Amino acid sequence: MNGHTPALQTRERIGPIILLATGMLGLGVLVYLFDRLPGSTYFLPAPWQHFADKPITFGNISGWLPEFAHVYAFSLFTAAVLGTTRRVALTSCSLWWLIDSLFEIGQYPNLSPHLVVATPAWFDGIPFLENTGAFFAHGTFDPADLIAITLGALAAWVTLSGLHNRKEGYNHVRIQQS
Amino acid sequence: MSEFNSHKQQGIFHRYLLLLPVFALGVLSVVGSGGGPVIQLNTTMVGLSVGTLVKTSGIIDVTNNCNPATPPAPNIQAWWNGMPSTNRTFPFVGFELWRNSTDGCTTSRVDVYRALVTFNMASVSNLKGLVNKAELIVSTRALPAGVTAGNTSCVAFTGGAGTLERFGPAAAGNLPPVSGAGVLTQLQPADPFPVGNVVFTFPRPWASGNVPGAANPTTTLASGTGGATFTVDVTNQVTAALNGGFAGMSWMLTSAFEGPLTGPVASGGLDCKTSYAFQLRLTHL
Repeated sequence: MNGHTPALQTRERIGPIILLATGMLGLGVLVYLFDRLPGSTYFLPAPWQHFADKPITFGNISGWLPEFAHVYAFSLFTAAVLGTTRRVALTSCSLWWLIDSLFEIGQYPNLSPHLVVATPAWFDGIPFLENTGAFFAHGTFDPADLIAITLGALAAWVTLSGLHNRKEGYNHVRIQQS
Repeated sequence: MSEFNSHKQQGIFHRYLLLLPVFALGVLSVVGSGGGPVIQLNTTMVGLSVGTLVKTSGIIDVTNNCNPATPPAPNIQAWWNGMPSTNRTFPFVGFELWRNSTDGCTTSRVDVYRALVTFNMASVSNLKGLVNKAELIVSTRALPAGVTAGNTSCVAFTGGAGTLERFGPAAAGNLPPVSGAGVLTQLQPADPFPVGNVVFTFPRPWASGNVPGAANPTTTLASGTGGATFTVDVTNQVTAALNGGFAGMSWMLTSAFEGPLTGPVASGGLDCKTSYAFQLRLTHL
């Protein structure tokens, strides 16, 4: 016995993960707040984006930081729910890499009109879902975003692997001590 | 041991349950991150040409004195010519029964009407690949005097309409003439009515809601003026027509009674000619 209850172990394990994920997600939201044109983002009211006429806050990274942040944050959130094993890390990072990549590819000009037309009519009036058509119709496909998504997934995997190794080492030391 | 397994299974279940909001939040945040304001879809009504087809058949009484005919037999062309021009743009479907009741005469006649419509798809060819939804709206414009309580052949809300039929693109060249102003075509006894594919049969008696047995999803509602409106989802057909570059799409209403007469009709006859309005509404980018 290492003296920790399972609940405490879980809190110790997922606390840093949730903190990192929330921080990264917050960073992504800041890009939309400070560096995107008013009205360009569905989930933010246009008046909130009143810094858009100021110089770009995040510089060159503002173009791809949200994509990186999203896949990173949700890979970590998923791992926080399912556990921090290597298999979970790989699954959650791969899953969010796939989801975000598909949404990005859906903005490809030859593909997006078909997706807009295929968007179910019953999405209308349902918050967020009602923006599906606009997401594909007005979104811009950028290969750099796909790279950012891949880097985000890799970074999440490295983070989760690091936390996993740290925990393994911690448990190993405690077993030796006992 | 089994209690341990049960707790373990519960834990796994709760984890996967927790995964749902994470997954939903993740996907919705992607959808909500772009696109700007909600996209506004536009509505276009497709231009149309209409025609009224009529075909006459009957029974001749050769044993009784039938002259002069009382009442006079309906004069279809005179009826058409005497109608306000606006009314001709709303084609007729149904039937008119006539009986010559002079001195016990049993001569009877039925004039069967069908409403034909062709939508000008060439005028909306620019919407190829952009149509989100297409609806054919068929509504009664004017109900005839023959619609009376308890009359099973000329029913309330829909009058003399029997079925809605659609034609394939290949049929367009073989159909009777249609025009924007409305055209009347009197078919000869030997000429058959055009034959289409039944989309739905008008419910008798009429009832609001989904129309059972329809080939395309169809709903009907009371129009508020004594008639009914039928809305047919024709998205797939319209998309195919636009993709195929077809110039027109045609539908036809058949009559609830098309003969032949099996015996003399009741004295006084029955007017069940019903005027219908057609619209093809496209919802698109």
